Order: sequence, then structure tokens, then C-alpha cells
Amino acid sequence: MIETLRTRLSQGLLLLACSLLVINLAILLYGVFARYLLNASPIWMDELARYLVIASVMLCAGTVYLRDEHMRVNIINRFATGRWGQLLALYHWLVVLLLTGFIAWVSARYAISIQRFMTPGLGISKSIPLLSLPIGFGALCLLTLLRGPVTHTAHSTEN
Amino acid sequence: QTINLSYNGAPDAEKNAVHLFASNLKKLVEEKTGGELELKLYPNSMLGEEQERMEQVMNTPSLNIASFGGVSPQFPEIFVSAIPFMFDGFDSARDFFDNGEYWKASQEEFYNRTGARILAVVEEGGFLAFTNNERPIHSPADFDGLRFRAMDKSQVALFESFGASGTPIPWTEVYMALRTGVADGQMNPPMYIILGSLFEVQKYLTLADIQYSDQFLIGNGELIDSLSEEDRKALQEAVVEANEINREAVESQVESRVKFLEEQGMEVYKPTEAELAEFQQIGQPSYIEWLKEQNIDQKWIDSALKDAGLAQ
Amino acid sequence: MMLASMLAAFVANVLLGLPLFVCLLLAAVVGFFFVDLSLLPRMLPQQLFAGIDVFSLMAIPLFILAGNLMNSAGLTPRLIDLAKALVGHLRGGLGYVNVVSSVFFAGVNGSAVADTSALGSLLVPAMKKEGYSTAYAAGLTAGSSLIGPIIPPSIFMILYASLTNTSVGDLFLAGVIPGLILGVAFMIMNWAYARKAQLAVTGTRPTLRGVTVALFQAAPALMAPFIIVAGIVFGFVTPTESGALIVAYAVAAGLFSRHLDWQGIKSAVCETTRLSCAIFLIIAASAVVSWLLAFAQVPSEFSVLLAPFSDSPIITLLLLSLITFVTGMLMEEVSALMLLTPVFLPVAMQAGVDPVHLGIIVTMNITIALITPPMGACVFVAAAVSKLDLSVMFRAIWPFVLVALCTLILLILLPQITLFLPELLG
Ligand code: NA
Ligand code: NA
Repeated sequence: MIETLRTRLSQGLLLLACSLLVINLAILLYGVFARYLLNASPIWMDELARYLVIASVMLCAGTVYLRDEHMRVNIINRFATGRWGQLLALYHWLVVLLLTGFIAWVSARYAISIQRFMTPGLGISKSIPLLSLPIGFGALCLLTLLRGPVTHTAHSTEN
Repeated sequence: QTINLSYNGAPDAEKNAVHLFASNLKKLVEEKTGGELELKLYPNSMLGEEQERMEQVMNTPSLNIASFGGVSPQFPEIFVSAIPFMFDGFDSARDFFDNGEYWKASQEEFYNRTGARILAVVEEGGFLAFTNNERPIHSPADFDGLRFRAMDKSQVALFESFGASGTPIPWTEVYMALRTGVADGQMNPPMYIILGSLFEVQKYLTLADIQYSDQFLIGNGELIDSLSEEDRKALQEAVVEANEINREAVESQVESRVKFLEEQGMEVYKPTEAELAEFQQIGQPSYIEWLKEQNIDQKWIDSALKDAGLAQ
Repeated sequence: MMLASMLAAFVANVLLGLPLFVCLLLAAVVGFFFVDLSLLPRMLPQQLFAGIDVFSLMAIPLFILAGNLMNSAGLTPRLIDLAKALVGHLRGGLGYVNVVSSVFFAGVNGSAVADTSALGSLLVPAMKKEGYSTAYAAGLTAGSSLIGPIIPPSIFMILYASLTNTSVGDLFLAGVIPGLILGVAFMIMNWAYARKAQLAVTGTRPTLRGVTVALFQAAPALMAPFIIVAGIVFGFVTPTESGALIVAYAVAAGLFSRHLDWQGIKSAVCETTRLSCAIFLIIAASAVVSWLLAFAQVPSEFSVLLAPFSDSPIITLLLLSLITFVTGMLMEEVSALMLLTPVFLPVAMQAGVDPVHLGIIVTMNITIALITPPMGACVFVAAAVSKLDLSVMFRAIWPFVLVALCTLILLILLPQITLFLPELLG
């Protein structure tokens, strides 16, 4: 049950992140096209491209974590086996859970606090792009919670 | 007490007028308060770009020198102070900020919206001038069909009113864009034309006094209120004196900079009164139209034009 | 004190195997305790976001995607075929093929790790068969992959440009000649090795026909660097847009040659998204640490420390390189670049170093860090694809590190090499 939920959530987020990247690509290509063939450069373009990529990388942070694809040094895991390994796994789990939860919380508060800032290109509230931080870190926190304190290798989680 | 002052550009008083102001302010404040107040300088946007720094000064006890990019998201009415061809020289521009109604109201409104205070208008590089590589620009008609690099939406509006087009290009890519013809021209004060070596790729310079080039010293409201009576007075005096030094330095350098550009092979043109009037007649209404599109209340525009002696 | 505590928190958690971005964020939280804890709730999210809210960084996923697409479309073996047709007939032919393929590959790919894994898995077995030692074959693969981030496009240069406000186009141009020199240096090394190991000459002399066919087949991949450099030199597009164009081109070329299908595109996009996420989180987290260092005025204290050497750009660059070399042995490359650049820039400016030259030197240094043990992504990958024990690999890599260092010193001594192209074309 929990595993299904975790897998669904993680795959859904990745799919969304991939789509945002593709949309970003389309927008950049449209920008070049517009400049040379329509002789106009929409001023919101580079801003939209930035926000899409930021949303994309933030949304799949949790998925990448479950797949153990965040860059890290894997030395001690080879020596820490048995009870030490479990202790280490618990430490990882607690640190990631608490830190990402905390960042999700402060960034949510921060995002709301700058509601009045308007972005110069799109003219939307700066809160909107900034919400990708709490959403991304929140998802990372939730996925970590759902996975539990198990030894972290790519093989022990979904591929 | 130590106060952080952040700003953009290199810590080089020769090339960066903002640093000249910041370093003088630091010296004067420390002298006047006998070291009671100290300023810690953060040049080169070390603590963040315009928007981040503006947010910091609104929320933490600090000082910041902001450009239009920093002020306008909070207070788009700042663009009214950049109505093109509004001033006929340094004196009228300075008078506009020192004694005008528009600026007094702006300072109040900015404080109401952000809780931060605009403490000074820091003179930066004189007035903006047009450069391009196609033909000498004497009047608006010469703009026809040219492609200009624009810094923001307001510049796009200005160029389009002259029959040219505006393409947004970041400053770091401007030299290359001008060299390769992605853009034919741009506008900047002589200081920036020299800083970016744009004279190597631009032939014609038109000293049309387009806009006054300035940045704004912003102080956190709570910080200012928390200062003792003497310290606050000392800070205010230091700001005024540092500003005076900047004004003298900037004005005295304008001529030598233009001469330098001439020596580098640029063809310099100073439009006549009649030509300037033509720039004004075409450029101003379209820019004001753009201001209205930004939902800026007419009263700001009226008050600014009145201060500048352009309306009754 | 603040610096020591941050470093301790960082190193301890790195060794415990936590993801690097988590280690950086933990170090940042520790740092906030020292400067002003009340700044944390605002500054941490602000800088996390601002660190990646930079238009030129958006080129990174695009260049990764282009490389992945070219791989999916099976263009890598064709680049190797072309290299074989050109230099395969020489003594030690496959060694030259390895280097030349890296040069070709560099024009498509922004990262050295991709180069090592793609070329290594194809070339190391073949080199073993022709009498090269496995250690040499793996070392050469890892070493020559360093050309990847020096010849444009380059993720490291994009990052450097975003941190220093330098033109990405200038940096890309500046990297071309140093990248080629690095290639020549590895070829000289291979020449010496081939003579000493008395390798047999196996290939036949190239025929015009053979070269033409191979060139034609590899053309789609070879066009990529020209599109990038031309696009930027002539200023038609920004580097980020050129990334988008290259992706479009890779898809078109792949579909046209029928080597790329829907499945290939899908997996390339998926892989790119995940790798970009890993890179961007490190950039974002490093930005928070960089901000703290700037706030505590570490960079200016550091430049005071190096002030006695500020009248010599060469000594300054050598010192900075030494610092990067040591840091790079122990640290992941993107975060090392993010943290060191803001500290180095004021020092180098004071010594009168051209920012573009500094960019190439920093890029070169960070790239060398990819093959210096114990922390070097390319060494790990090369050992893995060659099925070589890490301890053997760690010993075998040093000659290649030495060659790269010699090239670095040459670039430091003669800035003209680096600045020639940007001054000519930029
Ligand atoms: Na490359
Ligand atoms: Na290393």
C-alpha cells in the first residue's frame, strides 16, 4: 500500500518534471523562431524558461533521491554493515527527513511573504515560481518518510 | 554598530561611480560618528542581485544601493522619473530630485509600501546617449528600421516609438551582439560605453541626454528609526556630502569621457535644440503611453512633468 | 571558527554518505548560527532559489540532453569509426583513436563523465586486445575525457560565467585551443607509450574513400559543435538557445537516420531530467554557502592573504591552481567550482588576470579534479567500465594527471593561447 503510493508519487513527479523540461525546450525554440521570423522577442521568455527548469529540477528531487542518484560519496557504506549499517541508515533518514521538512516549511513561509513582488517579465507574483521550493522539498520529505529508514542503495528501491 | 551596505559593480572608484559614493559614505559616516557607526561594504552584488538585495534591505537592518531593476517591482512609479528627454542638463535633473513634488511623494509612497526609505539619488554616469553602427542619428527619423538592444520593457517602448525595434540582450552579451549585428545600437551613459568597450564596435554616438543615469540608496526603515538622534543626523549629513562629491566627480568626467570616445574613433553628435525637441515630441508620448499600460496613475506623471517644467 | 565548523559539518556528513546537497545545506545551517540565525528563514530559501535562477544555467540540461540524444541515436560508434579511419593506421592507433574521439565527442557533450563511460565501454576492450595494458587503456580514456569540458560546450564554463558575469560565448571560444592542446599532449604521451610497449601496427593506411564514408556517417555528430560555436560567434543565438537548437538538431538527425525512436527520446529526456536535478540541487545549495561566505567577507580576507603575490598574475594563478588541486581531490567538482570561484575572482582581478583567462584556468583545474583520486568521477567510471580495481586505477591515473597539469601550466604561462580566439572573433 505504502509502496504503491510511493512509486506512483515518485513516477508522477518525474513525469511532470520531464514535461516541464520539454516545454522549456519548446519555449526557447519558439523564442529563436520569433526573433528571426516574427522579428519580435517576447520579454517574458527567458524568465519563463528559468522558472520551468527550476520547477522541473525541484519536482523530481524526491524521485532522484529514491533512486540514489544524488551525488554522494559511497565509502563508509561498504564498511558499515549489520547494526552499524542500520544505525547509519537511521541517521540518513532522520537528517534528510528533518532538513527537507524544515526547508519546505521556511521556503513556504518565504514564498508567501514575497507575494507582493512582481516578476519583471511575466508580471506574476514572485510567490508562484518560488512555490517550487516548498513543493519540491516537501515531496522529498514525504517520499523519504514513506520509504522508511532502510539502507540506501539504488537496488533496495524502485528502478 | 556595523551596518551592511551592498551595491553592484566593482570596488573601483575610477570606473564605478556607485563605489565612489559608497566608499565616501563609509568614510564620512565613520568620521562623523567617531566610529560609533561603521559601514561594511559589499560591492559586486555579493549578497544578491537587484531583487534579492531589495528584499534584504526591506527585511534586515541594512543599506542597499538599488537600480531601477531593484526599485521598480515594488514601486513601478519610479519609471516616471525616467521619462525620456525630460531634463536639459545636470542642474534641472538634480533640482527635480532635490526640490520636486513628485520625488517627495515617491519617497513617502515607497516607505508606505516597503517600510524602507529612499535616502538618496546617487548620480551614476551622467546622461544616456544613443550609439549605433549604421548611420549618424540626428533626429528620430534616422532610427527607421534599426535594431536596438533594450535593457527592459520601457526601452523597447522608446525604440519602437522611433520606428526601430528593441531586443532584450543581457549586458554581458551586448558587445558580441553589437559586433555581430544582432543589434545595431544601444543606449547607455559614456561611462558604460567605455566600461564595455562598446566604442570598438559602435561608430556613431548621439548625445541626446535621453535619461538621467541614477541609482537609489535605500535604508531599512527599522534601522533608521532605531538610530540615536545624533547618529541619524550624522548619517543624513554624510549622505548629502557623499552625494555632492559624486555629482562633482560625475559632471567633471563627462567631458573627458566623451573626448576619449572621440579619440577612439567614434563620431560624436550633439543634437540641436530643434532636434532635441523632435526627440521629445515623439519619444515622450509613447513612453507615457507605456507608463499608463503599467497601470501607473496619471497623477504621478502630471506631477513629474510639472516639476520638470514641461507642463503647467 | 565559523569556517572550521562549517567545514567539519560538511566533511563529516560527506564521509557518512549523505547526498552532497544535503551536506552543503547542513554546513549552511551551521554557518547561520555563527553569522545571525535570524537571517536563516529568509536568506536560505532566497539564495536556494536565486542560485539557480540564472538564464545561462538553463543551457545545462539542454547540452546534457543533446549528448544523451546523440548517444541514443547511436552516433558515438560513428565518431570512433571516423577517428579510426583518420589515425587508426599509426602505431598505437587505438590510443590515438581514443583521444581523437574525445575531441569529436567534446563538441557534442558538456560533461567528461559521459565521455568516459561512452568511449570507455567501446574502446577499452578493443585496446586490451591489441596489447595495451588495461590500466593504460582506462587511464587514457579518463584522461582524454578531460577534453570534453574544455572544448565547448561546457557545463563548468556556463557555471563560471554565471558566477562572474563573463560572456559564455567568450569562454566557449577561449576553450577551443586549450582543448586541442590537451588532445595533442595526450597523443604525444600515447606515441611514447606505443614505442615503449612496442605495439604492432594493425590498421591500414587511410584511403580517401574510407575517410569520406566515415566522415559522411559521422557528419551529423560533427555538425553539432559548429552549430554551437557558429551560433554564438555570429551572435545569432545565446548559448542557452544554442543548447535548444542542438537538441532540436539531434532529434531531427536521429529521426532522419532512423536510429532514434520514441523510446530513445523518452529515456534521454528522463535521464536528463534526473541528472539536471542532481546538478541543480548542488548548485542551489552551494549558492547558500557562497552567500554566507560572502556575508562573512571570507573572499576579501582571502584576497588580503594573497595580496603579497598580487603583482604577478602567473604566481597568483599557480597558487589558485594549487588550492583547486587540493580541494578537487577531496570535493565534488560542481560544488568546488561554485565555492572557489567567488573567492578567487577578486584575487585574480587584483593581480590583473583576464576574467576569461581565469575562467579557462579554473575550468581546467576543476576538470583535472575529475581524475584525481580519491574523489574523481571520471576515475570511478573508467575503473567501472574497464573492470579494474580502484586501487590499481588510482595508481595508473597519475601519469595522465601529470600530462594535464603540464598543459595547465602552459596555459598559465601563455595567456595568449587562451585569449587568441576570443580576441580574434569576439
Ligand atoms: Na564539450
Ligand atoms: Na578529484
